[in-house]
Amino acid sequence: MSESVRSRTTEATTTDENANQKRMRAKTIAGATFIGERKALGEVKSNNSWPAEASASGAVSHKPVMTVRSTSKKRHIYRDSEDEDGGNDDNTHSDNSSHNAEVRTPNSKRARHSSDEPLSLPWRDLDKDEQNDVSMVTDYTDEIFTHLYERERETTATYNYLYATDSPQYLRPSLRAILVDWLVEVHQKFQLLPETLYLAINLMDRFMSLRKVSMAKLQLLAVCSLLIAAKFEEVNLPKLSQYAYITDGACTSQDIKDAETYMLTTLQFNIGWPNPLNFLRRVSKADDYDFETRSTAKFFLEYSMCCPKFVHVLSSHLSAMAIYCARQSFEKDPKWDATFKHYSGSVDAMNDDTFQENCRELIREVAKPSTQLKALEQKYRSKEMNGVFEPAKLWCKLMVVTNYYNLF
Amino acid sequence: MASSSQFKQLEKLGNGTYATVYKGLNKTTGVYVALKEVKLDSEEGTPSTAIREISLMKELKHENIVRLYDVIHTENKLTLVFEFMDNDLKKYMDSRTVGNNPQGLELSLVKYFEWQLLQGVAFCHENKILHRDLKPQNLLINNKGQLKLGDFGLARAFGIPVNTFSSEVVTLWYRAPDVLMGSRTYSTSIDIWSCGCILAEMITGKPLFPGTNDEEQLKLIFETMGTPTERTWPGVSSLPKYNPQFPQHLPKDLGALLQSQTREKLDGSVIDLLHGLLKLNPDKRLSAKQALNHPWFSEYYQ
Repeated sequence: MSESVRSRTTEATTTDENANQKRMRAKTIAGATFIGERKALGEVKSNNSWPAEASASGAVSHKPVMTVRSTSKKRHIYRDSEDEDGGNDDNTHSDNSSHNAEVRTPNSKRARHSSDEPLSLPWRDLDKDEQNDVSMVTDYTDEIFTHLYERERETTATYNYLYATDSPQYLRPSLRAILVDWLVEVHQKFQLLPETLYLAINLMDRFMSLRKVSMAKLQLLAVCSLLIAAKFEEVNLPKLSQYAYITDGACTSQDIKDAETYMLTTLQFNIGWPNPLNFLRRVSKADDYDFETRSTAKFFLEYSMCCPKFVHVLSSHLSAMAIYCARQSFEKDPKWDATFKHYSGSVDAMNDDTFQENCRELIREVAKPSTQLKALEQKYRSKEMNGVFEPAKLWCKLMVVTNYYNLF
Repeated sequence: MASSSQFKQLEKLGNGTYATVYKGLNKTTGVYVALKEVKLDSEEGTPSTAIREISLMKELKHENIVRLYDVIHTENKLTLVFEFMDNDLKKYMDSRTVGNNPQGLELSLVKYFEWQLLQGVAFCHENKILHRDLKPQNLLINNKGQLKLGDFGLARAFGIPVNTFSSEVVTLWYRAPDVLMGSRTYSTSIDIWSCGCILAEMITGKPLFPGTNDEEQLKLIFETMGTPTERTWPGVSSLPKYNPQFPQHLPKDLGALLQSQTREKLDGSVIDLLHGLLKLNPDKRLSAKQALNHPWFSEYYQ
């Protein structure tokens, strides 16, 4: 990496990386060559063809070197049970039921400012019921979400670099899909949290909306995004050598380290990004945390993160789209109301043209994908994910042939 | 944009969680700064602690949180350029020790410091960030009596509901009983316990629960605050390291205990606040926001 890049500093005072975007768009990482040999993207593709369950289920991969030794002697990852919906056989399970059992005290009397609450809110106040659940941090819910709604605007690509004509990135949407689908797979092998996958995709997209990445370095970018996301989110981290290993020789540890530095500097260490799962949980509250809807909504959410159409769409909107589509696939009533609007961050589903078009686009993509997302589909066919893929796809196809009859 | 040549490195100020801190002088502006040097791990690249500390602190701009001005990246280290603070609370309290007798701070100063501490903590929590290492060494103070939270090396962002995290957090003396018993579902309450310990320590000049290991730490806490039961803390017995054989203690009179260690007259109000911050059951512990509304602070908000 060149000296000029090494000594580049990040200005802590600049919070909005997008402010510099115009200027940065012109730059490429071509000048800042990452060290080491790089393979052509075609080989990324071949990596991508590992059977999804290969290492997880112990089955023998047709490319044995890809079986991740390190993940078989897997680290313990204690997760929010919410994120293990599938692994949890308890079908009555909902967000706030199991893992908080030990800290929930239904009878605890906390001094609350219940008297401040206006008597007639247009929406149902659902936070109130969770006041005794310490993990819901109800004391700060309003402040936290206000902050998250602001923050997501600063940390989402402001345009879709795949389609923008003035984008520095000539990346075919199908290439991004290959990268993202590969991430889905590696993420599964490393047994990381869902938050980590979404953050990795966000970091990758933000980077590509700022800098041109040559074909040969796309896989390096993807693996490095996952590395940084994991360092930010996870309790137990895979070793850097495992990341190098999983690229099957395409990237060395040194490549990844150099790329990490370059990525952190380019993103000015602005790693924190409001994860859509925060918003999904919140809007799911208005849906009484219905398990089936949420399982399907998670699929729609992940699909929207992975398909190329929504790179620039805010997390909170993606989450609202996911829950909206999931609910409609179960023909739930009401379609949307003031409560949903409130808990989705003011998404006005019935009147917002952009939202409606995005939902139709998402449905179209699931029904007739413009890019291949095999690992993702496989993942949501699995029992762990409650096999939501086929029914969801069927519903999407139905929506498309009926010209979205009664969708809104 | 700063470069490392812009700063003159002066004396060493101390060792942080994962870095060394020096006093520095900005040669262009003549302003003192604190330079925190983070060695880049040759195996694992940039430490996760540095990634979190920098990205989280960039989100946190508050008068009671030390400001991160800049990050300089050079060959094999990262230098974080922080606002310079004259002192930390630990050193300040140590400097007031007379002979071998630690002295508490004046109550009016205790109140002002605790108020600022809670302001900083409330701001972190509103921005969905847990500090997870609050202790006097990490509370920086200046000659104007301002107090700011520093060292976010163990901090992390939380989601809602809060994910499970490592229970290997917070320096032992300031670690909450639920975390000591292995709870991994802690939330903002983890920082509040520390705020309670710090308040008591400022009053007496001595750490409230100076345990040497996890077991002794819990023992010290229970001896003073009483041993929790399913009745006082529903769910306590299902924590991983709960031991039904914990010796049973009744709560001591915290007011009398602290009063015996300070000359100034303690009013009931500060003891009431302390009880709220040091609730064994994390669910019942005050939030920073609630604590700031406590009558003890009425002079600040009225």
